[in-house]
Parts: sequence; C-alpha cells; structure tokens
Amino acid sequence: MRSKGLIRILEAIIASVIILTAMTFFFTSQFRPQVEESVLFIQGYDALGVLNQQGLLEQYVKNNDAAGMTDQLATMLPATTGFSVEVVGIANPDIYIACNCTDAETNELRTMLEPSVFTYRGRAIEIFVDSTPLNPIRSGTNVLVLRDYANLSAEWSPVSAFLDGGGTVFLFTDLSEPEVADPILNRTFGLQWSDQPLQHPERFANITNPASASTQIYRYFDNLTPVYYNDVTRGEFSDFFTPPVFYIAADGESVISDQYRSVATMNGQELKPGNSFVKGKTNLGVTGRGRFVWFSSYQRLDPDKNQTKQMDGLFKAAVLWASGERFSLDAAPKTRADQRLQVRYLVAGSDTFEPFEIVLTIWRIFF
Amino acid sequence: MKGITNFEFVLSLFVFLSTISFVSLTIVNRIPNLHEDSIGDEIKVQSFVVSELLLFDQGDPAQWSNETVRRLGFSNGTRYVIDQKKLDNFSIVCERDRQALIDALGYVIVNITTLDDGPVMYCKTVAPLIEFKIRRFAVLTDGSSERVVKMEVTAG
Repeated sequence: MRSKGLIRILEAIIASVIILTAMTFFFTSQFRPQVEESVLFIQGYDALGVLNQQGLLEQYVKNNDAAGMTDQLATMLPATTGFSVEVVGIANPDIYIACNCTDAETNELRTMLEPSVFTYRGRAIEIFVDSTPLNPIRSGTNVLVLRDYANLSAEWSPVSAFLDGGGTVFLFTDLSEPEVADPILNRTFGLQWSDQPLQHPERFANITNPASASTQIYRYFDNLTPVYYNDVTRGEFSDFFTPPVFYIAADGESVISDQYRSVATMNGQELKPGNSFVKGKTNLGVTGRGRFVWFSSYQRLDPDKNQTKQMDGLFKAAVLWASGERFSLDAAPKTRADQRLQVRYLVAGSDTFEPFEIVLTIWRIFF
Repeated sequence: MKGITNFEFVLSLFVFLSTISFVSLTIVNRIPNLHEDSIGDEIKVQSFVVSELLLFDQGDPAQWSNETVRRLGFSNGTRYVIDQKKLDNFSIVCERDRQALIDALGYVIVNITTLDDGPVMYCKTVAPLIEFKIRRFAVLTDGSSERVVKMEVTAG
C-alpha cells in the first residue's frame, strides 16, 4: 500500500514536469530585436545629422524647398524605402484660414492680417483667408475662424474630424456667461466663467514657459511687432472688449490675462487668477493634435494708432501659433505604410532662425 | 482485469515516452538556431560599435598618425565630421599592421565612398563568412572643403 502511494506521487511529479516542459515549449517569447528597423533608424538619423551639420536642413526649411530635401534624402536612404518629412515647431509657410462668417467679416480679417505675405525671421509666410461653411469645412484649412458664438454641438462631427487632422478652431468673439456654459466651450475648450473682478491692464500671462501657448504667441508677437521709441505700453493691451465685471477665468492656458489679484490671507499673500482675454489650448483631437484659440473681440478705431497695431500684431501672432506649427516638406503627397518608423531630429536655432524639429517618417516599400 | 491494466500501462508509457522524445528533440533542434542567432547578434553589435567608434571618436591621441595611434577614430571633434588625414593614416595602418587592426576592431571591412559610390577609402581585415553591414553618413573634410560620404562597416 505504501509503495502504491509513492508511485502516485512519482506519477504526479512526472506529469507536472511534462506539462511544464510542454508549456515552456509552446509559450516561448517570440520577441526578437528589430535589428533592421534599428539600422534604418540610425541611417535616417545620420542623414539628418549630416544635413544639419552642413546647414542644409535650415536652408531647405527657410526656402520651403521640399524638392531639395526630398532629392537629398533619396540619395541617402535605401531605394526600397519610402519617406516623408514634416517640420514641427515653427509657423506654417502657407496658412489657410477659413472663416465661418459674412463677407464683410472675412474682409475685415484680411485687413487685420495685412500684409498677408511677409518675412518672419528669414522665412516667407503667406496667409490666405476665405469663407467656409461648418459642414463640410473647406479642404486644406489650417485655421477655422468663428466670428460669433456658435453652437458647435450640432456640427461637432466635422469640427472634431478637423481637430483630429491637426486643425485649429479659432473663436474670435466676446462671450457672455450663458455662452461659456456651452458644453463644448466649457468642457472641451476649457473656458470657465470667472469670479474675480477685472483688474487692468491686460498682459501676456506667461513669457518664460516654452510649453505654454502664451510664451509661443509672445515670441511671435515680439518678432512681428515693431518697437516704438519710448513706448511704455508695449505688451499691454487696452482695446479688448470690456465686460461689466467678470469675464473668462484665467488659468494655465491663458495667453493674455489681467493681473493676478493678491488676496490677504492669514498666512500672507495668496495669488488668485484673474480674467483671460486670449486663451490657447493644445492636444484637443484624439490623435493628440488639434488646437483651440479664443480671442476676445477688440476695437479697431484707428488702424494707425500704436495700440491698434499692437492688437493686430497680437492677433497675427495668435494666427501663426494657430497654424498648427506643423507642415509637410514633401515634394509630392505621399501615402504612408501602416508599418513605419519615425526619426525626430531637433535643429538648434540661431540669431536669424528659430529652432525646429524635423520628423522623418520611413517605411519599407516591400515587406 | 489484469490484462486490461497491462494494456493501460503500455499505452501510458507510450504516450509518456512520445511526449518526452518530442519535446527533447524539438529543444535539441533549436539549439543550433539559437547559437547562430547569438553569433549573428554579436556581429551586428560589433559592426554598430565599430561604426560609432570610427564616426564619433577622435581617437587617441586626438591628432593620431599611423605611428602614434593608441585608439582609432575618424572624427575631427565635431559631430558627424571626419578628417581626411585620419582616413589616410587608417589606410596605412590597414596595409602595414593588419593584425593590430584586427586586435583593435575585430574582423571588419570599412568602406567609405561618396554618395554616388565613388571610392574614398577601403580597408579589409579579413573576408568574413557571416557578415553584417551597417551604413552611416558623415561629412568628410580635408580642412578646405567638405563633402558628404557614406561609411559602411561590415563585421564578421
């Protein structure tokens, strides 16, 4: 009897060994290092490094020379690969604005953005302004401008697709408290009604954090707007629509806000956010792209007045940021394969040029 | 009853031995492939390491010649820029002291050409049986002019 029990135990051990061995065999990890992809990545990175070392990346981007960039990379990357180049972090060379507004409002936009062709830090930029319905939004649009409060819930599908594609919704109007309670403006675009009284003047909310829209728009504003001798009001914007008491609450997405209020507390001074007049929000679409700008309306009584020029400069700076700061540098439109790798290369700025990032997408034509 | 028990025993023994044999044979058959993969990975790593060293390292001393070299490297100190003089010295080392080169870099072929495959420098320590080639790019300077070249390092 005792030896029978021992045999049972022995059987169980042998069965366990067999099962474990079989499991190990069938469930072995199939992970293999992706050497070919790594080699392709290195080759792409080297190609960009060498072109940058020779100053060619800056030259291609400065001249918007997609053909030059494509030809050069074609000689360096394997013939069996396709590739596509995007420039990220600087304003698009061609900015297509589509305004869901009247002809008069569209013309006013054109006037505010004059000159529509200009040089910004060594690069030629052109702004095109047209009108569009909300459904469908004009093809190729970078910035969709709304001149009045619009209930976007009804047209959310095309607007959402537009944001996913990297477009920007630019709401250029003053707002009332009930309008701010709109779920899209409130939850999606992050506008909240303030409980802090206004305290002028309005200034840039943040000029030291490169991750904030405020700092980026300030950078554009500073380079676009001429500096007038002895102009102590530079960077102060006094022509915005002035609401009676409260307006849109200031937060981390504020571009222009009135001063933060100091409130005495038992422990000293507590800073309370004030009110916003311009806001910028990023990463709205499910693809991680898509931007939103809210710009309060402002008076343009005298176009020659310094204050109006400042306001127009601020508006143009916001439009440059709203362009998405991402554009293709391909000689022809390309369809990317599903399996692809991305090489990102940061190009340092100089006195005459802003830093930018090159995103090189590479895929194999034959699998 | 006794006969049936014997039959069950034989059957279970057969199943047991078959399973053990199958698993053992499969594992044994895999070993050469794993060994080959291991050698292949080693060669890939070697070609990458050598290409990194030659492309981004100045060598020791920084202005080495074929007589003073302690460590090889083509860089002139600027990232992605390689020095024509160092390539000339490397060619001399390759011709005169191949064993030292094998000791330093292993069994490699270094082929530097222009983008349209015009020859710039070629050095072969040995003809490898299994090989892996990695292609890098660099800017070649002789002090007065610059041109983009490709550097292929084949390890084996």
